[in-house]
Amino acid sequence: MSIKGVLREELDNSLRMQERYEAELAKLPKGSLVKRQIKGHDYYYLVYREDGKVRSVYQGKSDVKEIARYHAAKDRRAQYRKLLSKVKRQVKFLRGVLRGKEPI
Amino acid sequence: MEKNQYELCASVLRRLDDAGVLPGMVIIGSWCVLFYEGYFNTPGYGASIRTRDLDLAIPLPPCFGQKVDLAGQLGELGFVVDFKGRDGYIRFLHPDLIVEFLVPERGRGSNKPFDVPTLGINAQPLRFLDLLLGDTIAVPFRSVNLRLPHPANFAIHNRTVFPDAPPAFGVSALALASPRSRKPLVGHTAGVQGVSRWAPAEGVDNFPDIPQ
Repeated sequence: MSIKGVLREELDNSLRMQERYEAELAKLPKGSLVKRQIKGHDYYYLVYREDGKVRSVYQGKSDVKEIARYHAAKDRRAQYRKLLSKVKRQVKFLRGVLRGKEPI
Repeated sequence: MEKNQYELCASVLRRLDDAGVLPGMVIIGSWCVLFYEGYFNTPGYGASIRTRDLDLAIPLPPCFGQKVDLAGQLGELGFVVDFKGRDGYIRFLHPDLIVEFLVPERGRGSNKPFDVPTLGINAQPLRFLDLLLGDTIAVPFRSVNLRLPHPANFAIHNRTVFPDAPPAFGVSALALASPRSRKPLVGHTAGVQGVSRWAPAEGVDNFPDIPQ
């Protein structure tokens, strides 16, 4: 396989990766769970942005499992965003390399 | 090679070893050339360029004692699951590494993926893979033991499958030069003859002479 063929295959892989990371990000629960202390009691609110506004939805006292789920989702989202950004850089680089007219 | 890629590969292997599934797999493809370094111990050993694909071959029948959620294990490292092509071969994607699973294709062969339910994955059947899995060596890498095809088998397989490619990513030349592997290579004369029965003629004709 020519070098160009290998690069094209790598580009296809990276594009597929981008698609998969975007799909995984969309699956994660939206927003962050924040704790507010009111009169000595802890209450949880789901905070997210919608139509350019910050919305805060009361979640009650929330059990430990639910809190852990949101924290795990938050970490996973940060990880996926970082990796997605890397994939996008790869796509940009590979497209740039393949744009050249000279045969490689 | 990028340090990140190397470290990620090490993390994947460590995870597989911790889960107890690595002894049931053989590393093949361009990555095993890197790990031969621990076997040859030849000064100036320079592994060639590796692709992003980390190919893990599963000898048949698969022998994994317990159920392992491989997708979950690799997911923690940032891998996402993808299904390749029309047949839906599973692979784990990461910007630095793509993990794929293979099994030897036997008999008439089939395009269908081979299911490995204990790991929750499927594997792509590939012709001539038995040649790589028939004779394996154990190579230490950090704190894990890797199973790799014997370099002679790797070289023969490479010449068989890619007759026009440079000799086995440099492994065959190195294997012939290395005092450690000379004896095993001579012992593999029968293997070379065995391959000649079913390998394309042009692939075998180009195979380098075996030192006596």
